[in-house]
Amino acid sequence: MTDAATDVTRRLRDLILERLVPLDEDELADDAPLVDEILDSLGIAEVAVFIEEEIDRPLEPSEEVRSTFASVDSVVAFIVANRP
Amino acid sequence: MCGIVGLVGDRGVGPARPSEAAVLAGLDAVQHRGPDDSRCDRVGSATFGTARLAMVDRPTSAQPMRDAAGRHLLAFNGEIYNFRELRTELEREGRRFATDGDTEVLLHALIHWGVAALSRLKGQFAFALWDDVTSELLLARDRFGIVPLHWTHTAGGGVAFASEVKSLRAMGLHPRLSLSDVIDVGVLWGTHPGRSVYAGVETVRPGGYVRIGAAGVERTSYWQFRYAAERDPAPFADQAARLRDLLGRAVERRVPVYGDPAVLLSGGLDSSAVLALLRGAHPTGRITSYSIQFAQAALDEEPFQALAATEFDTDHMAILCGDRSVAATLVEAVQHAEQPLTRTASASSIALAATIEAHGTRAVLSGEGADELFCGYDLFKIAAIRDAWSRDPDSDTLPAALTDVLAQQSHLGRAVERAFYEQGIDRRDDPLFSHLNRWSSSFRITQYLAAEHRAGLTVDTVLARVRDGLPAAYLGWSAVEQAQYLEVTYFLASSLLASQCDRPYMAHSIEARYPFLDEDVVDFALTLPLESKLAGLQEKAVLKRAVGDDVPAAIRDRVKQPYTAPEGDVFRSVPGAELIDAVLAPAALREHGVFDPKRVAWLVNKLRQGRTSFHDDLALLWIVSVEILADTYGVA
Repeated sequence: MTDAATDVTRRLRDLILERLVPLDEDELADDAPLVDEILDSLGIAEVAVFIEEEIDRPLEPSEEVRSTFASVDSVVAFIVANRP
Repeated sequence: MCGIVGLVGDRGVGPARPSEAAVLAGLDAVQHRGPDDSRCDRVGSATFGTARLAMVDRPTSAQPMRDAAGRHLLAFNGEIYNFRELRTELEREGRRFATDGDTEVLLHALIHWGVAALSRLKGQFAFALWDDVTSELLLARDRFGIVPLHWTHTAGGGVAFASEVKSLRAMGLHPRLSLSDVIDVGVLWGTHPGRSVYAGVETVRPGGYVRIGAAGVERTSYWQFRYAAERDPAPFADQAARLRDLLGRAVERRVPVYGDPAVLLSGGLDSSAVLALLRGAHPTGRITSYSIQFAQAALDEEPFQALAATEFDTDHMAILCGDRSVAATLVEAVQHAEQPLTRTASASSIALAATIEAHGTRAVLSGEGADELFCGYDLFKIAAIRDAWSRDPDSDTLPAALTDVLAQQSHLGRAVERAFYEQGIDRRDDPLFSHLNRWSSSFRITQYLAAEHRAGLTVDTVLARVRDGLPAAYLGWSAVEQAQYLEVTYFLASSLLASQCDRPYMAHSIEARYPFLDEDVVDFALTLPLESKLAGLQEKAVLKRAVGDDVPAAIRDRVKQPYTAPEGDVFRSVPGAELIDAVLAPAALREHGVFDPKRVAWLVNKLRQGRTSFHDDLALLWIVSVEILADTYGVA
């Protein structure tokens, strides 16, 4: 993992653990299914805002799909691939 | 309606407490259900009590009622709307009557026809019948479980029954919360038919009866929610005309014998239709309408309520509910509901019930039931879209249609919601397909349970109990009609009709009546093809056609707004915050051991720091109400 990806991962995990779900650090795996088991719809929306801030543009409708939000890993991968 | 209580078994609740004293204590606990008279009677080893809210034949129909031979004893809660027709039939067959009410008709009908009488009844009821010759207790309930009835075995080897669990407790029994049922009611927004949230306490399932005698316990359904195999082939306009006729009769049947008729007026199509039909039948009589208004503009339907009240010339009364008033009534609402709440609407209903009682009204007609029967909720549209999407996963138009439906209600306006509803789209073969999203999401409330209760618990643990109860015909129904079944079985029966209607209204001796749940209306609805109910994405199509000329166009054509009350903001108000401080303090949580104090503190902190989600609010209300009940009843 690159330094950039590591940094995004840390900040995304902080967002999820501090504001979205009552889990401890060791209870959130980076490949855990965010949409199916971790986040509710408001949580997904907050992650969407996080992504938009990271990539500095609004998400396209075609990007607002489950695969983008599937896990911490997939969110980070999307951000890294779409950063300006 | 009334409150009924009873005890069968020579040893009563236990050797230390005679049966009559126990039953009288049970009656005291439900005096709010029947302020007009309170009596107790004994036949053989059965002691029954009734707190009576006299809606029919006040002078002579005292309860509990014996037959002339003294063999049978009946405690009856509710109304039999077709009692005059049944009486005529019974008189033709030689039965003689001493009163003018429905109680004696029910007694004769049960003696004459046995349990076959149940399918002849039109009404809302729960009753207990004792036969001293066969030593058999019969408990039964109306089709949709409008009227509550709980029962349990006693330590003395007998059986106790009561309208409300608080009576069982007052009788000296010790009902404690059943954690698995508490979890299920939070996830499913309702209890499994026949169960309660108390260990060892059952309910008579809607449309069912329980026979308890020497041969043991027999639990049977005399009616089940099933779609007709052959659907009504009549033209749509004819179906609508037929529905209007049946609804009109259903409204007429529910006009109270005493006092002026009254309607619970939300401002939506259903209650406005009930009011319109009532006004049509009583062109010049006085009609009262009662409404709840909300301080939050997004929830308030006041303009539509005012429109209907003016159009139909009612004496209109409304109460204004806000976060503070809902929070202030919440503990009372939970204690009356006797099960964890998933919506705060019960608190608003209690406040309205107090106003109705003060105004002298005893019975109110309600529009509840229409959404379940005629596909009024967005849930049904979403089920239809997801069903099509599951067969065409590459479609662009179907997710777009979903976004449109959601935008009408959620105001989130984000396509990201699609990611949420795409969940489970590959599981169309799952019988619970229509509800997987809702229930999987609601399952997140269990993350606040203490670690030992979370261990091994999955959403499939909860759903397995739903799957076990599905009828054989279920798999042959469409996704939308499967969704209707699940809504009727879980949400309507134990959340809407119980926690949001019967309990809060009966807390102030107010009987709510439901024309849409009339037997003839329901039987007809079950013959309608799906497209008559949900035409494309047009909800309640046949109902809109049926009453389209009766209600103002602005109400008929408005975007449906589900009845909602303030949720998370309730706990941000001063009384709400005080409630949380008292009920969710770590020491209080540790006392019952149900929830994880650290995780609950995280949720409370989130509430106080900023925005909470629908499921955060759901979790808070569930946790608060479980803790309130645990304080009273304890946890098994």
